[in-house]
Amino acid sequence: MAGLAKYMAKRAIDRVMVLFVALVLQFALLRVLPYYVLGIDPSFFFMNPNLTNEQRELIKKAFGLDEPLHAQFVKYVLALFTGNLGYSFYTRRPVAAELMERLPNTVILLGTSTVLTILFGLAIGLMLAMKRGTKIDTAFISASVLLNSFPTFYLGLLLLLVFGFYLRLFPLAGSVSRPPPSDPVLYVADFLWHMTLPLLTLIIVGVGGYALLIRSLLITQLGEDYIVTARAKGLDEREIIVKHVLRNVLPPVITIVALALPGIVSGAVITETIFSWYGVGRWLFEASTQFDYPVVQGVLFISILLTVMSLYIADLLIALADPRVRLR
Amino acid sequence: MSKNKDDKKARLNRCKSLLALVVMFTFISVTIVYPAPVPPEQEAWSWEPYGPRVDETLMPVILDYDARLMAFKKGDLDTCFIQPARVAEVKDDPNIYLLTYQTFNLQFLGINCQQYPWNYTAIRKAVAHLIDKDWIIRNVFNGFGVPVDSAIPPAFGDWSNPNVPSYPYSRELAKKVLLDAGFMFDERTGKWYEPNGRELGKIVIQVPPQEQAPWLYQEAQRIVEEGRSIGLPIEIEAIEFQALVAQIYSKTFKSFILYLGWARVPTLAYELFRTGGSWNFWGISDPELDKLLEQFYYTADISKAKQALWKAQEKVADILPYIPIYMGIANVGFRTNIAGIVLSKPVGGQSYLTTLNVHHTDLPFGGAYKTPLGSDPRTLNPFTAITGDEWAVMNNILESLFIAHPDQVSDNLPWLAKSWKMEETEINGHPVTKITFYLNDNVTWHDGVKFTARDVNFTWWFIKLNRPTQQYAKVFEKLIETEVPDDYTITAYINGTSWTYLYDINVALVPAHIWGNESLLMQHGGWEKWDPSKVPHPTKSGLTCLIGTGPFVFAERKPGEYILLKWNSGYWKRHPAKTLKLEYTLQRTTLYEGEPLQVAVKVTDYTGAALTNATVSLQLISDGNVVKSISAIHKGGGIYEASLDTAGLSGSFKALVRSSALIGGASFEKEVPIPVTIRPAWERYLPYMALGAIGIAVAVIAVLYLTRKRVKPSG
Amino acid sequence: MLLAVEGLKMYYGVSNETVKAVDGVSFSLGEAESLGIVGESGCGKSSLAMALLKILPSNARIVDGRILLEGVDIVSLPEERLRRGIRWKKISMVFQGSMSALNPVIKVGEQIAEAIIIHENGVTKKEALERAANLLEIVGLDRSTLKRYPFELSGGQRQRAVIAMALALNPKVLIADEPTTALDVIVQAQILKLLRELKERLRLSIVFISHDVSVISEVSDRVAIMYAGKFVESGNAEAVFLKPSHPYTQALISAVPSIKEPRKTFKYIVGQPPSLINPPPGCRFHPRCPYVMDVCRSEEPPIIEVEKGHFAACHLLGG
Repeated sequence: MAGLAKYMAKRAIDRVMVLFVALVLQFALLRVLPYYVLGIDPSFFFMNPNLTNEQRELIKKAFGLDEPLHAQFVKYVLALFTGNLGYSFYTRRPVAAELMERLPNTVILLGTSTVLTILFGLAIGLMLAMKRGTKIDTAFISASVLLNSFPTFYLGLLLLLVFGFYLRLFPLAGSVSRPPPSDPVLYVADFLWHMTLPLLTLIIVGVGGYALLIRSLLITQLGEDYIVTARAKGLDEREIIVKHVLRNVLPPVITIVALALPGIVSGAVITETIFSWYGVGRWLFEASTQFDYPVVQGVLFISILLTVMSLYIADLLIALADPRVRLR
Repeated sequence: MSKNKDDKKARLNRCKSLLALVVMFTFISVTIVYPAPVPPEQEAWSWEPYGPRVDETLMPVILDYDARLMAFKKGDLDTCFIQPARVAEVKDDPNIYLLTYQTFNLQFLGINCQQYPWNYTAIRKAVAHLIDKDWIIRNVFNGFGVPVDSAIPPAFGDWSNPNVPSYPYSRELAKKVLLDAGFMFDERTGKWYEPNGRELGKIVIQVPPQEQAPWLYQEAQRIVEEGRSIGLPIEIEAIEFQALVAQIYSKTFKSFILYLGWARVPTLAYELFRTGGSWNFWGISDPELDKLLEQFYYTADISKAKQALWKAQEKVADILPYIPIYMGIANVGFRTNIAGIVLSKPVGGQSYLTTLNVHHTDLPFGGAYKTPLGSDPRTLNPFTAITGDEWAVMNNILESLFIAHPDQVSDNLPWLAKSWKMEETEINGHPVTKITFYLNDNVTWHDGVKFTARDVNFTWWFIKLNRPTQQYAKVFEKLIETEVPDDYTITAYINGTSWTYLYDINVALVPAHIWGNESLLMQHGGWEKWDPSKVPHPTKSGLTCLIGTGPFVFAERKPGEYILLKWNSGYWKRHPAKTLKLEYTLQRTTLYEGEPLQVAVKVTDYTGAALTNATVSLQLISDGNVVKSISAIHKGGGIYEASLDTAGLSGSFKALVRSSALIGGASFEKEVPIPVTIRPAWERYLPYMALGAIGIAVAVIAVLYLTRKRVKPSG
Repeated sequence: MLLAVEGLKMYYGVSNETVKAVDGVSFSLGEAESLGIVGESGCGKSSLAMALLKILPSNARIVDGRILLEGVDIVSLPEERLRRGIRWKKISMVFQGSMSALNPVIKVGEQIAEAIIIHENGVTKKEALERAANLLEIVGLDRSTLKRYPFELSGGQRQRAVIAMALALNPKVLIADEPTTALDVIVQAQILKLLRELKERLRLSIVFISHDVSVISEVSDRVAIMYAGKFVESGNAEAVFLKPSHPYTQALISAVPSIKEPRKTFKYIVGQPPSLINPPPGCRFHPRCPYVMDVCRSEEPPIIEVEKGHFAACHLLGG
C-alpha cells in the first residue's frame, strides 16, 4: 500500500492548494473587490450614518479593515480556522452561532433527501441499465428528463397546493406545529410530518438526474469488451453488473456523491423558502441580498471546506476502488 | 405585510426608506375586483382604548407568499395581506372579507432638475400634463391606487393641501405650456426647439428593467408614447435598480419612477425640498420655498406648521421637482369571524388600536389572533431592528407616549403620557423648545416594576448617547437637558424650535432597569449585539429581557417558525369587561333573623372557563359598613358556597359577593351586590300572630255576640 | 467428431434490415485439431466465433443450422444450460483486443479464479486461486501475475493471461478470435508457439480465426477461407496453401508479400467486401473475380472436391 500513501499525500497537497486558492478568491471577491476596487464599502449599509468619523474608524479597526491586504488575509484565514467565522453585519452576532441555529434543520432535510435521492437514483439507474432498450426504459427516461427539468419552486408549490391546501393532508409551513407537541415521540412525528413535502420535492427533482447518470455510466461499461468475456465465462446479467460493472462505475459515482455532500450544509434556497423551512440555504440567500458579507463568507468557507474534505475522502475511496489510479 | 405603524417615525435612514421602496415593488395586478362585504360586527365597531381582547397573538413565519395565502384561505391565519393580483381569488370566499385603505406609499416621477433638458420647468410641466394617471391606475395597477396631485397626499389628513395647482392629463395643455414658455415646434421636421433655437435634446425616464418591474416599465412606456405623440424626444432608459439608486444618491440620474414610503407626519418634506436637504436629489433651490420650509419645520405650533406646509405645497407644485402620480391602495383580508379592526381616518391604514380591539365574533374575550410574519425577525432589539416584521412583533410589546388618533391620523391620542405641554423659551439667548410630559401613574412593565419618568429619561439619553440609526433624530442631537421633578413628570429642553421634536421624541420606551443594567448587557455583547428576546429575565422566570408596557408579553419563540405573544393580564389599559364572571343563586332575598343566608356562586373567566382557585366572600353591608362577612368554600367545578348566619341582624342590607382570582398572574376582582332584607325574628310569627289576632278577634266578636243583652219586649 | 457445424446461419437485425453475417457455414473439428479460418474484415468470422459460443447480441439470432458439440446440438439448448454446462467448460474463447478483454480494476488471478468459482460449486477461493496460478504457469507466466492488474502487464503477458483464463475449466475446444492482432511480431510468434504447445499437451482443439494468412498458416492443421458469410475453400492447410483453388484464396495468398521474392508492386484484390445485407447474386465473389463468367452472376457455385478433403466452391472447377 505504499503506492496508496504516496498517492494520498499527493492528493492532499493538491486539495490544500485548491482550498488556498478558493480562500484567496473568496477574500478577493468579497472584501477586496468591493472595497478597494469598486470603492463600495460593504459595511456601508450597516455603518450607522450618525457615527462620527472617529467612531467609524474604530469600528473599521475592529473589523480589521485598516490593515494592509495581506495582513488582513492572514488574519482572516487564521480566524476561519479557529472557528471564528466573523460577525454578521446585520445582527452583530457571531456567524458561527447563527449557523448552528439553522444547521440542524438543513442537515436533517438535505441529508435525508440526498441519501434517498442517490439511493433511489442508483436503484432506478441500475434497473434501467438492466432493462435498456425496453419500453420501461423509455418510459422512465422520459419521466426522468421531465422531472429533472421541473423547476423546484413549481413542484414545491404544486405539492403544497394539492397536499397542503386542497387535500389538507400536510401542513403549509414550518418544521413544527405551532405550538409543538411536548411529548418527544409526538414531536419527532410532527417534525417528520412537516418534512414530508419538502423532502418529496427535493427527491422528485433530484432523482431523475441521478438515475439517468447512473444508467448511462452503466450502459457505457456494459458495452466494454470485458463484459463479453464475462458473459462468455458464464456470468449472468445480474452477476455481471454487480461483480464487474459496479466496480468500474464506482469512481464517477463516488465523485458525484462527494460533490453532493457539501450541499447538505449549504441547503436548498428555494425549497426552504417555499416551505418556510428555517435553514442555511435561505439564510445564505438573504445575507447575499442584504449585503451581509460576513455571513456569506462564513457559510461559503464552510462549504468550501466541506467540499475539499469530501473530495479528499472521495480520492481515497476511488484509489481503493480503482487500482489504476494509485499504482500508475 | 404592510400594516401601517402609525407610531413609527420616518427616519432619514437610507436603509429603511430603501427597504420601503423595495417593499412597494411587489405590487402586481390583474383585474379590477370588488371586495366582499364586511361583516356587520366589524362595520358597526367603534374603537375602544382598552384591551387586548384576545389572549394570545400567534405569529407564524411563512416566507413564501403563496404559502401564506393558502394558509389564510385554509383558516390557519386570521389575516393576510392580499396582493392586487390575488384579490380575485379571495373575494368570493364566504369566509373572507377585505378591508381597503390607502397606504403612505407615494409613487412619483422624480426629476433631476439640474440636468438638461429636465432643468426647464416647462418641460417638467409638460410631462406632468402627459401623465394619464387614471389610465395608469386602471390599466397598470388595476384600480388599486388613488391619483395624487400634491407632494403631500391626502393620506396625511389635514397636512395635505387639496388645492394645489394640478396638471390634468391633456396633450393640448402640454403643448401649450411649452409654447407659452418660448419653445417652438416645427411641423415640418416634427421636432421641438428651445427658446434659444437649439433642437430639444433627449428627455429620459429611467426605470428598472422590464424583467424586474414590468409595471413601472409599462407606465414609463405610456408616458413616452404620449410625449412622442406631441413630438417630444422622450425615451426610456432601463437601468438596474441598484445602479439607479447609486445614481440617485450621486445625483447623476435623469429622472425615475419610484415609490417613497412616508410616516404619518410629513417631516420628510423639509429634507426633500430645501436647498441642501439630504433628500433633495432633484437639486432644486428656491429661496421662497426654503423660507416656507423653515417656517414649516421650525415652529412649535402645529397649525402654523400646517399653514406653512400648505403654502410650500403650492410652491412645490409650481416648481414641480417631482411629479406625484398615485398613492397605493392596500387590501388586507380577514376571516369573517374576526372583528375589531380599527382603521385610521381619513383614508385608512391600521391603527395601533387594532391590537387592543381585535377579537373573534363569537368570543368577545379570549382566543388567539393568528397573523403571519413574512420573514423571520433577525433581531428583536428595538435599537437595531429595521424590518417591518420585527416591528410588527415589538409594536405589541412596547409603547410610546402618544399614538396617532384613529379619528384623524394627523392628531394625537395621549397614551403613556396623559397630557403634554410644548413651550418656546430661551436658554442663554438661544431659542429652546421645552416639552413637558405628564405620565399616567398606573402603568407597570411586564415584570411588575412600575413605569416612571425615569424610564422615559433613560430611553432618551440612551438614544442620545448611542445614536441608534432607527431612532436618532435631530431632536436627540439637540437635546440639552431633561428634568424629572417627580415620578410622573418629565421635561425636555431642546435647542431650536420645531413641532417635529414632539413627534421625533415619541420613541418606543424601554425599561431602565433592564437596558440600564450594564453588566447584563455586557454579558450578552452590548446594546447593539444582544437580542433581549433571547436572554432570560434576570429575576422573573418565564420572561425574557424584551419587556415593555404593552398589551402583549413576549412568551415563546421558535426561530424561523413562530413567535407567540401572551396577553398582559396586568395591562394598565386592560378592558374592564375582561374579567371574572360571577353567576350566583340565592334561595331567598328576604330572610328572617337567624336563617342562614345561602349563596352559591360560579366563578368563571371571561371565556366561561371555571376558576377553581378564586377567593370568594360574602359580605353583608349596611350603610356602607361591613356588618358581617364570611368566605365561600369551593365545592368543585368553580362553584363556591357560603352560608351566612343572620342572627342579631335585621333591616335591609346589601349582600356583596366578592371574588378575586389570578388569571395569567394578574389579579382580577369582581363583586356583585344583592339587596337583602332581614326581618326581625319575631316577624316570622307574624302570620301566627295575625292568625291569633284574628282568632282572638273572632272569639271576642263571637263572645260579644253570644253575650249580647237580650232586649225583653215590654208592656 | 468433437465439433461439427452444419449449415449455420446467423443473422443480425439492424434498423429493419437483415445482415446475413454467417450464411450457411459447415465444418468439423476433431480432437487436438486446429482449424484456421481466414477472411477479410467484415466477412463474418467474428460473428461466427460468437455464434459458436452462442454469445449473441440482442439483435442477432441463429436462423438455421446445427452446432454439434460432442454430438449435442447446442443451438437448441436453453441459455441456462449453455451458461452453466457448455460455455467455458466445454468450449471457451480467447478474444481479440485483449486489453479490454480483462476487467481493468480486478486482479488477473481473481478473474481467472472467477471462472472456476462460477462453474464449480464447493471450490474455495483459495483453491481457485491456486489453480489459477497453475494455469498462469502453463501459459508461461510467473505465478506472481496472479496479484497483478491487467494494466501492469505487457500486451503479450495479457494475451497469455487471457489464454490461461480460457483454459480454466479444461475445455475441449478453444476458439481464438484474432488473438495476435494487437501484438508485435516477436510476441505474436511466442503466442502462436504457445498455442501449438497447448494443443499438443492438453489435446486441445482450436478454432483459430484471423485475417492474417501467414499467421493462420503457421498454426493450423486445416484451413477454411471465409468470404461474405460463406466458406469458399477448405481443406488441409498444406493442400489449400500449395494448391489454392478458389480465385479468392489465390488472390489472398499472392497478396502476402514474400521476403524471398524481389520487390514488386503490391498485389491487391480490387473492389470492396460485399454488403452482407444484400449480397451479390450468384457467386458472392463474382464482382471482384478476375475470372468471372456469366454463370457466376446468377448461380451459386457448387462445392467441388478438388482433392481428397480439399473443397472449393467455384464454377471454374466444375466438371
